Amino acid sequence: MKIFKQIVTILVVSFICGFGFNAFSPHGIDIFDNPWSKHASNDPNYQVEHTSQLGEEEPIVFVELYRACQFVEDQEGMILDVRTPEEYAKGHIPGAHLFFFYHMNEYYPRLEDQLKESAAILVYCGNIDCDDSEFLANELFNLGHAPILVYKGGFEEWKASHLPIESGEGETEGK
Amino acid sequence: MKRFLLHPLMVWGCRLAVAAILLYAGVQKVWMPLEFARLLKEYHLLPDQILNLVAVLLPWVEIISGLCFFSGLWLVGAAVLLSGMNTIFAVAIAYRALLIMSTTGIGFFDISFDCGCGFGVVYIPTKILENLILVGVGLIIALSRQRGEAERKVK
Repeated sequence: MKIFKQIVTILVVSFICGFGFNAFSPHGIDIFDNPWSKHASNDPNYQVEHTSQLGEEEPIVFVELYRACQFVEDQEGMILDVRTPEEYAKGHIPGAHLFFFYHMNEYYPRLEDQLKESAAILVYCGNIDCDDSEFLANELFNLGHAPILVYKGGFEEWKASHLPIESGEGETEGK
Repeated sequence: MKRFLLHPLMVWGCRLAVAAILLYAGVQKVWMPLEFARLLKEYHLLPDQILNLVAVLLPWVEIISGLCFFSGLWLVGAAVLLSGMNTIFAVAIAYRALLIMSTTGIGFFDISFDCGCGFGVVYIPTKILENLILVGVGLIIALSRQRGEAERKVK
């Protein structure tokens, strides 16, 4: 019973501190409004709002097909494919580097220098239901890279639009 | 072995180590609740509606527990809480690793990701082992304190 009381006390103190800190912290968030679920592909309003050009105020920008095309054509920066090496080998956006999200420890050191030099980064994964590109964008942003464009339509949309693709296991050389 | 594990110096060392780990992990997350919420979302275990709530409160549970380990206040409760939380964390990490294995086909011993533990991208088999060690450490601290209190009552 004593242990239970102690646990409840710790939780109550933690909750008070948590709510209090969140209310006054500049990093405080709306507890009942999770933006990550809005980001998740099925909110058309979110995508429309974030298909703008690169801006300093938005380090991570969600873009649609035409903007991704523009990025690739104008060679604005590095393109990262976060899918598996097998999927990458079957086909990827021209110029994209393989960056399998779940082996970040392996790929990041390999591409770190190029990422630092890149003016912008475009990331994509399989399709609109895939969140890995969004997750990688956040990881890269935390590591100090920006601006980052997240192409939510992913490789399926790119391929369905009959845009050019590259295939092969070797990674594309950096620009 | 039991005497070694429950030796006061051993317990004191464990307490300080656990306090440092919890305080570091909690403080790392408390400054970036939105980022922590996103990492929680990757587990696909919690409904979106409570992700932010958990992201705001969980770091403080770690911080307050860390302070308890450091100060000795509510120590048994903090130790039991540590074991309970780390059991849940280990299961959640293993579950996410299984999801990744089933969707990507990569092996368990090749998986690394940011588990939201406050230490960035980590090698998952090692992380699960660390969590299980913390479960054991929590139980050792709780048992040693309980035994100490029982001995004092006898005297």
